Amino acid sequence: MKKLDCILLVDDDEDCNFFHRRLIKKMGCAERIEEAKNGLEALELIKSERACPIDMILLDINMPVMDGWTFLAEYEKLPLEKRACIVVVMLTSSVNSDDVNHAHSQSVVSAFVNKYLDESRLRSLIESKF
Amino acid sequence: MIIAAFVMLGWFLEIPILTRLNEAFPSMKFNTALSFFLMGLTMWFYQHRVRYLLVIIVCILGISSMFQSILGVDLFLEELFVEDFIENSGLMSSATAICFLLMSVGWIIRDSENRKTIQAAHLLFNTVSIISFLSLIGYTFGIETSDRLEFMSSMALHTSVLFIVISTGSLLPFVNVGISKIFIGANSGSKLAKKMYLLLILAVLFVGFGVVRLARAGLVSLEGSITLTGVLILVVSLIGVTLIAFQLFREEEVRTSLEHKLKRINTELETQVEKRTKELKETVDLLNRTNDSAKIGYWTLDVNTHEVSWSAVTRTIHEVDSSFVPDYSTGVQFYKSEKDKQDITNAVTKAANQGVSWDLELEIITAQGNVKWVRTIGFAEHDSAGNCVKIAGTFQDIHERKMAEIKLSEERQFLQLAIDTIPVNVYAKDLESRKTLVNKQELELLGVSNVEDVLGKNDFDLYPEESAKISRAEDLKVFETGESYESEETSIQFSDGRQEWFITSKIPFKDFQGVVKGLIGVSVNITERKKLEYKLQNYAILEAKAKEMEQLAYIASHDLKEPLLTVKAYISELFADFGHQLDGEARYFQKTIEKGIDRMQTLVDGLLDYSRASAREELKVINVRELLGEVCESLSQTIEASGAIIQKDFELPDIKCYPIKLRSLFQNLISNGIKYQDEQTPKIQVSAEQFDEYWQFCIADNGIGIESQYYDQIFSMFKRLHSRHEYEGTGIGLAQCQKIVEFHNGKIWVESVKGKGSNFYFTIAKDL
Repeated sequence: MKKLDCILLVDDDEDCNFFHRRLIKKMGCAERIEEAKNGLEALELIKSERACPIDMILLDINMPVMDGWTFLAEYEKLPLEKRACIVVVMLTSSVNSDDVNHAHSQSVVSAFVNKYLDESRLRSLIESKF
Repeated sequence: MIIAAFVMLGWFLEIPILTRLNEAFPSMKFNTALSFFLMGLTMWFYQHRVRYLLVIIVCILGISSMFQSILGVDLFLEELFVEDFIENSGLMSSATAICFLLMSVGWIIRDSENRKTIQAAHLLFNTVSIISFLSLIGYTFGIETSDRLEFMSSMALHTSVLFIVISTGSLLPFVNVGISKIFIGANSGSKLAKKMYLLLILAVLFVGFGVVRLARAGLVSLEGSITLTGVLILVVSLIGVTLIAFQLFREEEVRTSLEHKLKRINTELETQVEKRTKELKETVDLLNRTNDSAKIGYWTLDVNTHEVSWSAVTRTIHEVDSSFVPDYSTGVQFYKSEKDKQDITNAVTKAANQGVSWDLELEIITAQGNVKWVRTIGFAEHDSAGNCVKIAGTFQDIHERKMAEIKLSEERQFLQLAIDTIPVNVYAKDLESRKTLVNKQELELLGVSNVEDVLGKNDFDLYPEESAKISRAEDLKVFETGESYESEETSIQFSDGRQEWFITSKIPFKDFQGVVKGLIGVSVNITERKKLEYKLQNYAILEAKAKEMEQLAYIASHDLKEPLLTVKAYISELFADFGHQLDGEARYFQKTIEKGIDRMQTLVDGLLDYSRASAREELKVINVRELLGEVCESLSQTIEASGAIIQKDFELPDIKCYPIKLRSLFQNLISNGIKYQDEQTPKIQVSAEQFDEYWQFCIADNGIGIESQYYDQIFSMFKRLHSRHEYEGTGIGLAQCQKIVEFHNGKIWVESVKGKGSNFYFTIAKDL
């Protein structure tokens, strides 16, 4: 399994962020872990980063201020160099087929996974995308 | 005759009492008795010729007796038959002889044609009566035989009586002749005579009797008795005359007033007759004028000679001049068609033979070649023997009226055709809301084939009461305001439960003076549209509800799911990282928590599934057998594990449905059948049955069954009959099934025998 430079967790649920940060840290699959409480914070974070240090974004759908879908729309407007190397993964508790279908129709979305990830699922996700 | 016979018997057998009645009285002689006997026979044979012979014998007896007593010549006639044993002589008295003589002469001339002669006979009979009456007076006054007039000295009492009887009897046939007329008549003269005669006779009898008794007793002298007699008779006569005069006077008065009255009535009657005659003349004039203007003529037909006579108007109608001589066959030839000719011939024949009158409207071709409608009326006239001798009748030109009628009828037919053709209910009503016109559509609505069953009936006769009340109120409003009732939605609820919807307009129908005479109704049947509207409305509500439900379920399950997943993830990490520090009891806790979380997750997923049952989906035609194949495939693990046998009817239909929902429905029911089992091998039978409007499916299992009190409850949300310990379940599956069936406009129910198995039935509407 390749060790990533940076993983961005975008979720308003702190428990969820804490759990995944702990899991990533425990598995040692990333140098750095960043967090954003909503889509807007995530956008700001990406814009402020020099070059393209973020390898993977784990994105929730239902969030206050800016939800996952709006974030995706805004994200697509970013210059290509800002997002060239980023893998976007939808991480949600939704099993709604509408959500699943919508996610798959978005070209920038690489994968759709249900919360919570455990060691085996995170490993197979990283191995399949990197 | 009987008395005479007795007297003769008395002479033969010598019994004095029969001949003289009283010792002091003279006896009736045998010859007298014989003569009476003969007179009796004469009266018996009063019409027979023999009577003349009999009276001539009596006459001879009388004459001979007279001769003997007057001339003293003994002709030996007196004792010819019997010997007189009482007196010296058997000769009848001269008075008796004269009486017989007069009577016999009277009888000889009595049947004469001559009135004078008959009057003479009368006189004779009356004389007999007077003579015998005088004799009777003698007896009444008790005068001795010797004191009497010599002439009538020995007339017997019964002789006198018999003379009176016979003379009166002889007069009976001649009540209108002579003196008897006075007594028998009913005019005032007769009354006077009857009363005065009776009074005077009785007065003379009683006064005479009384005075004679007084004179005998020596109370009055002979002179005194004569005076007394005269005075008494005078007094009685005066009183009698006065009373009778009063009575006559009153009767005269009554008669006079009656005469006056009669005269007055006569005068009135005459005036009235005059008046009536005048009126009759006027009526006849009017009738003639009316007939002329109404073109009514007369005709007669002599049945025997076939002669026909036509009045002037009848001629005018036929357009023939006064020289034309009609007869029966030419009359018939005027009729246009062969049928009309036949009809009139039949009518005449029937009138002549059976006396049946006729009234026909037929067509003729006039002498000028014009076609005319005429009305002919005929009736038979009979002679006293009841034979038809004449047929008479009227003949009227009704061409204009008939043409107008025909035109009207054609227009009406045209109108009826027009309103029958348009696909709208049309009708007309009068002011009582009775139908006066209906079209075919309206008849069909009422389920009636004959228009006569509807015309003249009102809404209360034709429709249920509630609808009729509403309709009548609408009608009244139109009649009162004279304004149309336009394009209102109305409905009729029929007694069979059928409800029909209409858009109705009611337009007042006015006469030329603008007075409302009724209304014309036009109703467009919008029942189908209304049904569709209702369906759409229902569908919209259902859809909105489904959407809402879906939203709710989605949010609920989503919001529930997040904390659940958090707990699950943390618990899992907790035991992974710190589990080695825990003892055996803590391990048990861990397992319980995990089981609870799993169950919670199943429930949340079930809710999500249920919300998905409302999700929008396209209708598709699918084959149920194929669908069941897919279901069995997805249940393959469960089927294999339980060893269940799934039997599908070979003939399962293609149906229109929401396929994902239907699959979920079958899957739920089949997995239930496998799940709720005792120890034995599950056996599931799926079958289908076709009905008019829906398909009915049955999923039958051999499971534990359901008690009947739970048949309805099991379809409720979260309703579970068994503990989780016995059978796993969320209590959502059957609620979801019900929802899916409702989506297919169907229903779902269960029939079950506890311990034997359950049959789950559901229907899917064909018309989706």
